Amino acid sequence: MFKKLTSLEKEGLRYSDLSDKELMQMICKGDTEAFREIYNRYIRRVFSMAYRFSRDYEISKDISQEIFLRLYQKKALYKPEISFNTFFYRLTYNCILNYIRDHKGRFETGNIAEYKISSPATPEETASANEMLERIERRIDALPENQKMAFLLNKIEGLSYEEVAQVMDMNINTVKSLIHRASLNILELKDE
Amino acid sequence: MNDHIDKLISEYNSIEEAYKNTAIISHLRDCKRCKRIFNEYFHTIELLKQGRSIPLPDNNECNNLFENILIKAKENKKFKDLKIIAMAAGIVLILITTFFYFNQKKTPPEESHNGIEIMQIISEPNIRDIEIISELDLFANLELIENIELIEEISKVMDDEI
Repeated sequence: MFKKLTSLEKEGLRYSDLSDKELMQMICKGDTEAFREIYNRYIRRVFSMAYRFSRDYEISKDISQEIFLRLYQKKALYKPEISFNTFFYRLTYNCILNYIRDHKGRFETGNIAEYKISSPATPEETASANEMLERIERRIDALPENQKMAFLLNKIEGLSYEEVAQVMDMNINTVKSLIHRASLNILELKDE
Repeated sequence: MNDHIDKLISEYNSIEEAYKNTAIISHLRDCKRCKRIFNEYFHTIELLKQGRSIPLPDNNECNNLFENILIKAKENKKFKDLKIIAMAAGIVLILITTFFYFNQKKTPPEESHNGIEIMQIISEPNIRDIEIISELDLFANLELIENIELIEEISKVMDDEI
């Protein structure tokens, strides 16, 4: 089913050439470099997700660290039949959820200064883009946790409805409903 | 398609995907409202994917974070190994204690030192006791010798009567 992994040098392969599943198999055997490659691929995505829930730089770093630590510690639980996305994002989802529950009420949302774009073009484009971004991020922050998570996993991280349902341990129709309601809320449309 | 197509909006991840549906294309040609909403929606998704408002850590910080993760992973592994060793030692100790406890219970009482001494005292013949018994026998016989004349007279009387 999977190509037998021999020494990477012999086959002229680099870690960056391998799929997530192949890297995960190597991590299961204790390959630290394979773990580093997975880390490099996903750290920014994981950090962004954590930031959208915490709106705090240090907390987002803590959450990201926890996610990858659990990935390394629970590598024995990974089976090749399982989709890597489902396995990894389920860890991510659980970590973020646990952090929110442990620190309920301490997260601040809607910090306008955080919404500015770092690399503007012209001043007019900057103002317009910042305004739109601020509006979007406020609406994302205002979403209920479940809707936010389902929307981010499906639309931003690119998971399918089935994968999101497995990650969040929900029925697929529930997931579709959450994503639809999140989309309408972001657009400030009423559900008819 | 006469109604607004809000319900379809979340089914697509990009405007290109949505435009593969000819019914959507023809509706958007005529409905300015839905066209505006569709454009805004997919533009929103693009902006969010770019993550321009997220203060991402730079390469240096990412490397430091990774090293921290490896250090913590090794620490947790050491702690886990120690836990396993401590549990194994505890189980062995319990087994040894249980073995010795039940082993001691099985030891019979006559094999104890006190029992041996008592048995020895009972079993060894006491020379003085033997002497006493011999003297008592002798004494009983002496009584018989003193009363022998009386015993002979009684036996004569009993013979005559018969």
